[in-house]
Amino acid sequence: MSRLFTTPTSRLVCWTVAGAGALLFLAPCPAAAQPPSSAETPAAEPGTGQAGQKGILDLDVEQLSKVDVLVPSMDVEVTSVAKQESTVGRSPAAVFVITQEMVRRSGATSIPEVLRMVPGLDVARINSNSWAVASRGFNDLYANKLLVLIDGRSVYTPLFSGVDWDTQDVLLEDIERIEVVRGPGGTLWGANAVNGVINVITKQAKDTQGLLVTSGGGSEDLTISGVRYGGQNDQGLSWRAYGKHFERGPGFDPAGAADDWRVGRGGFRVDWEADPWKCNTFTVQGDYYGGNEGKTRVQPIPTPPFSRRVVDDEDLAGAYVLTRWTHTFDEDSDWELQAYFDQLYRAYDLLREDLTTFDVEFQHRFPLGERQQLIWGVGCRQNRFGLAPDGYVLDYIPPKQTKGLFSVFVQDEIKLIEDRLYFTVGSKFEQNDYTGFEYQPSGRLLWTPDRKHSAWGAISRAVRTPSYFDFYGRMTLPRQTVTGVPFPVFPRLTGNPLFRSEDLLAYEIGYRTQASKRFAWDLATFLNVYEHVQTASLGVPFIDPYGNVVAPFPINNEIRGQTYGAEVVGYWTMSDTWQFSASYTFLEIQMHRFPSSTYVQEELIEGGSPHNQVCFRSSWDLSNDWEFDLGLRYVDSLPTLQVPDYITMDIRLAWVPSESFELAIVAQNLLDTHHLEYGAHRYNILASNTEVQRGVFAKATWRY
Amino acid sequence: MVILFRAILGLALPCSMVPCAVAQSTDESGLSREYTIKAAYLHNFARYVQWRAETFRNDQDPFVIGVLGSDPLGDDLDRIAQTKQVDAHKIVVRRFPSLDQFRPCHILFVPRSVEPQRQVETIGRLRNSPVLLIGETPGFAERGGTINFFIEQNKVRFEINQQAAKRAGLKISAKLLSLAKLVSEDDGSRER
Repeated sequence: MSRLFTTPTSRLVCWTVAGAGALLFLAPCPAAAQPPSSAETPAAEPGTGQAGQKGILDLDVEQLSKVDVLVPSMDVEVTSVAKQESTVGRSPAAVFVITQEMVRRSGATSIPEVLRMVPGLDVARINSNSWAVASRGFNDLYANKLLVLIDGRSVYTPLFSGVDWDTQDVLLEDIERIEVVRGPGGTLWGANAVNGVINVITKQAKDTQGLLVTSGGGSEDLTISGVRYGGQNDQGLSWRAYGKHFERGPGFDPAGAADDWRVGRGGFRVDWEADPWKCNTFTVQGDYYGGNEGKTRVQPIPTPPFSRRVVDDEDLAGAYVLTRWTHTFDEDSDWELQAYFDQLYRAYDLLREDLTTFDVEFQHRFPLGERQQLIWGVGCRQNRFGLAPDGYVLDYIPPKQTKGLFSVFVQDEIKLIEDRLYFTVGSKFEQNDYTGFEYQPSGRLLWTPDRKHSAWGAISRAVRTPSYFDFYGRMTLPRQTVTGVPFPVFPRLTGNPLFRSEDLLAYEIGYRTQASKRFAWDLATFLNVYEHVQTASLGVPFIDPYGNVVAPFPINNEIRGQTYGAEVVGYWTMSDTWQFSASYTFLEIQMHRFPSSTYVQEELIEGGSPHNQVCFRSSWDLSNDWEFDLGLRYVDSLPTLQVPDYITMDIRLAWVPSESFELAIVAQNLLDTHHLEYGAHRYNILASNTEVQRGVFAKATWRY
Repeated sequence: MVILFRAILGLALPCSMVPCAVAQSTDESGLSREYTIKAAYLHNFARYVQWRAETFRNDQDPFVIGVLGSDPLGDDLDRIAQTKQVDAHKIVVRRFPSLDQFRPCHILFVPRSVEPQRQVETIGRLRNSPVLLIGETPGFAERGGTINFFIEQNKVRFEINQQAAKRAGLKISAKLLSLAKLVSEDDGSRER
């Protein structure tokens, strides 16, 4: 099985996928018969306040005739739920959209910090350069049940199953929107979208024209710099190039923190509309980054005192190139061919990692008869792992390998009653080099009695496929006492090629409504039933070459459980100048391990995510030139990690005298000098936690 | 306990601002962008309509937008005046609480809050003056106003009375006419 995708056959399959797309190019473009009818309305966003209105004042008379007067929150554009353009109100899923305006006014300087405002997401800052981000439970440094994409490129690392948030970054001013879907997205997006999908979508090149310069700094975000320039010609070609650099200081640690870091990044994007009717559009984009970050670790050593605190520097670098070709037949049918190449490099004392990813995907959507809208696709991905572990604390056997993945998906949206009831059914089928065949079906029902209400329900299955570590890795933990052995040993988490995928059966129900002109709210509830969740059991202890007793813990699937919860968010628009929103997230986790399993994992999982979270955000335009934004959040305690509950506040005050200049002062984590968000965990051997400190920074932005 | 204290501290700041913010929002706009769109239209009308040369003494003379009665356009109109121009003329906004305080302007916007009697009076008074009269009340254009806003399918649209424009010596560009509903005076008939 594992040799299937390293053969020329797999490459043939991948290129056939690409070739099939090319054949469809020969189909005539009916859109040539009439010019596009859809309007170019400015994005309909709730709570755009002053800045949205500034956009309207610049419009020409033709464009003005197409602008909506009343902007209900249900009309916000979303594409991640159905892999095609839709709106929040018509999405049978728990979706939350973060617009560029929300990013700008949050004062956040990185993607995980922006995600804090999403109900249902648990964002915990482990240290200055590491975050644990999860949806609906199971949070840790390598939270593995959340798929994250940037412009269609998966940034979920197959090495440890999780996201390296320190290296996933874009120029925040280039973000068009971030769509967060909580709940299984396996049907459309594939394995590992078990509890959610986060899709970071950047602006098209034609929307980032001219020069933009940002500069700033402060006490935690020591320096912030960014520059971007965009241009275009008359032939439908538009492009941009950007660079950014930041330096961030360490968190708080009484023993001395060393988690400061700096990363520089540069990239480009070229969009070409090959003909005036947008029959064919091409995009090429890419970027390159390099940086380093400090880490403290508590590592096991074979001689007394058997553990030591290490201060280390990690080097990071990476690059990617992505191309996309979209061929549009008409409003309801098009196809898209995408290919990307991604290279990642990371080096620290325990591991040198080289990961190369090559991915080709094709999707086609078209209407079937009067009542159905079909979308289907094929995809093929290769991950090439090149690893050089230290051999004692971390090991991978074999250290070099290529793993492949082939998938097909299909989804049908059936109109049962026009404008009222829609049923969406589909499934994704995958063949991967770890567990073979996987399937992820889902059924969703959407009821829209009128433009102001929608209710939805869904039943879905999703899987989390094994990571490279799950199969081939070994991690030695500091010497400690474990249940089942009467004296201290070195536990060693060991990979197991018999580890199977974790699976989830999710039942979800949700309701959203634009209750009045001023108030809208959205409720999502779920019951998740998990089987074959990862845990480990004590194997037979042995004596290693250093004369120490090692207790192996082979990874297995001997824990199962349920989670249930609810996420509710309300939006109030008090006036053209003041909007605020409040959200509440509730989560309950109950895990049960098999009697034979000895690793006490269930309390770690149950106590590793907060039961309750409350978030309040306010956006207030004090006057034409001044903006004041406030964010308040409460996060419940993590008992097994000894993290107390906390409440904290962020404030942003900005002076925006014109469209070309903005000066913002942001103060974060105001209510405490420092607070803990994540605690002692086995991954402390990779990254120890520090506390998040109160900080303030100023940032100026010029646009020409 | 400490959490409670911090919560109160955290809420005190926004709460202290709530009364002020609420007091400001006496309008019904909610999520409506109606007046922002209309302010943008006023600027566009200025661009696509030609006034007789004698309405400007010289190149430095500003383009004057007047508003009668209580002004619903507010900040958006001020923003237009600060950032835009009309053929190299700066834009100046004048607000007249009543018709008695009227002074010459190129555009006069008559909000729907003005009583119908006053609206008719205004139209009558400025019938032959080179002023672009813009209203937002049904019947405004039929009574002799030049342009009238109306809302259709959640979009701001406008109707033009060409006879009124001719009387005022205004030349309206074909582009603007093509986007408008054309209206005849007095008899209320509409044609595309």
